[in-house]
Amino acid sequence: MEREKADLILNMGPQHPSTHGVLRLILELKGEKIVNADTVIGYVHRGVEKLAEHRKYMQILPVFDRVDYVSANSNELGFVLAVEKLLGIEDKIPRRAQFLRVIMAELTRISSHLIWLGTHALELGAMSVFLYAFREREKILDLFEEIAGGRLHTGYMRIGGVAADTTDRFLDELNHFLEFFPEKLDEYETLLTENRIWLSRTKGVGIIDKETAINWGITGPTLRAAGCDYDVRKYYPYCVYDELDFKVPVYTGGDVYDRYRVRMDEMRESLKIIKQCLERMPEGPVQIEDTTVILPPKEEVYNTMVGLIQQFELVIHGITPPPGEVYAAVEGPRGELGYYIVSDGSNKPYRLRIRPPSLINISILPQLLKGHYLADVISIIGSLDPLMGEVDR
Amino acid sequence: MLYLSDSLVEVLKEEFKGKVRELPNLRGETSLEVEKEVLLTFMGFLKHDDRFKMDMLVDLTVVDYPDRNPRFEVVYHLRSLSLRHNLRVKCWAEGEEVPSVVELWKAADWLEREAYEMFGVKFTGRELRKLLLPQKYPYFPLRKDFPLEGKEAPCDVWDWE
Repeated sequence: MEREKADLILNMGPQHPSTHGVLRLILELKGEKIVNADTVIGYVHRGVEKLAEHRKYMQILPVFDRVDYVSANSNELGFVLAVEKLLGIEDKIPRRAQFLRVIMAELTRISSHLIWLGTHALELGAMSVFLYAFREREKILDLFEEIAGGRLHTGYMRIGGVAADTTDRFLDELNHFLEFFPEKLDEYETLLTENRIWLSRTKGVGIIDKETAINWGITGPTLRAAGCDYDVRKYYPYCVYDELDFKVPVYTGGDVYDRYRVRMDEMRESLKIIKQCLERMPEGPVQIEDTTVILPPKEEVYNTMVGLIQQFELVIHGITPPPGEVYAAVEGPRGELGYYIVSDGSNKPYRLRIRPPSLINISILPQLLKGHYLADVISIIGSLDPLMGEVDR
Repeated sequence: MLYLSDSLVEVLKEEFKGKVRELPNLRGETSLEVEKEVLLTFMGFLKHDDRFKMDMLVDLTVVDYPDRNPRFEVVYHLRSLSLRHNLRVKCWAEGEEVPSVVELWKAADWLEREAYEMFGVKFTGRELRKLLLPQKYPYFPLRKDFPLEGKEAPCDVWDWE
């Protein structure tokens, strides 16, 4: 096919706010219409897969915290599930830890969607939603701080459980959050869902149909907005998701507006999940009772010889899974976040591959932009919710 | 995660006699090794046959074994969304080349480009521009013999145009 001739080549980004500071688009324009588009990525490439191959399993966790830097808990969860599968201990993780993992993963989903909602709305001109969404996200970060000590990079998941049990304050504040947040969601929807400007900027823009989405390997809200009900939590349940009652929001329009609606519904479903977890979470330990996998409690390290030796063994020698390979995935806020580990039986992974949902979701971008107007570019990028740290790794 | 049932694996072994081999697995994840010359037909069969319907390429990556020959193992993770099963397919990159599967799954577009720039495995039948690194970057950073701290590269490499 002959390439349409462009009048102007426009470099958009990486500094444009809607391109997240690290995505550059080369747009070939005819008038305001895009006839060709190309992407330049890699500005934040850190080689985390290479880094992971040079670290012991336990030391990798903080690196993966920073891959998708707004949803650290989901990243950690995917990684610890993969390592636990490799070790064959996934059935031995205490139930309380499983529930806590789900609570943290869902809180992460809400906070990630709030960032998305705020910035996406801001990019399309709605300033107040941005302020509101960030205000509520702050509450979630407070919750993270209370339970894990960190706000952004929590380091809460551990191979064999979670770092710490809940505190009374955490439970109180979480309950308070569950009470007031649905109203806030209604507020956002009042501002946007039937807003004429919002509708005209998002409806019918950037349509991806179901077959195309599957063929391009797209997962997460973008796939579900295209009419496919694929969600890792339902298809291949992990932790305690199979015991919980929640819906997977699916829309059929496949446009920017439907992606917005999927994410809004997902936040409500996440609240439902967290509520059920709080009701059903049993008392008990939050870490596996296997000292070859998880560090012993600090009192034992300081007061007993056995504890000290166990700590030393784990820190110096690390975990040594059997040789073999596994793939484990979680439903991150952006889609299927998978980890493929090849172990050679040593204390470091021979190869550790992250299946980044953002990279695969935005690979369709050059195709998708063709034929749209320049103003739609911002709307389309935002709706795919790419996290450039995860794209570049 | 559900993987292909044993009976379906037998179907594949029968269909591609001598060209497909089942690999030992650790946690019930079925992996098949395929000869390079039948890779495309094999993948096409997996995608279009009603018993398999592998409509999604979940991931494509490479594992480097510097002591072996051929050195690179290309790993495909396939999934059928309607039948809910998965399969891992492996193919050794002889002469550092394997056929591209981008005609079957568009998802392979960027993944193959990434595999090329990180490992130097070429996917025949398509253009392979670098994706994450500068176009003139001469090394393949995820190879085992590439040092963690990197290598000095000449200045003109960092020209992003």
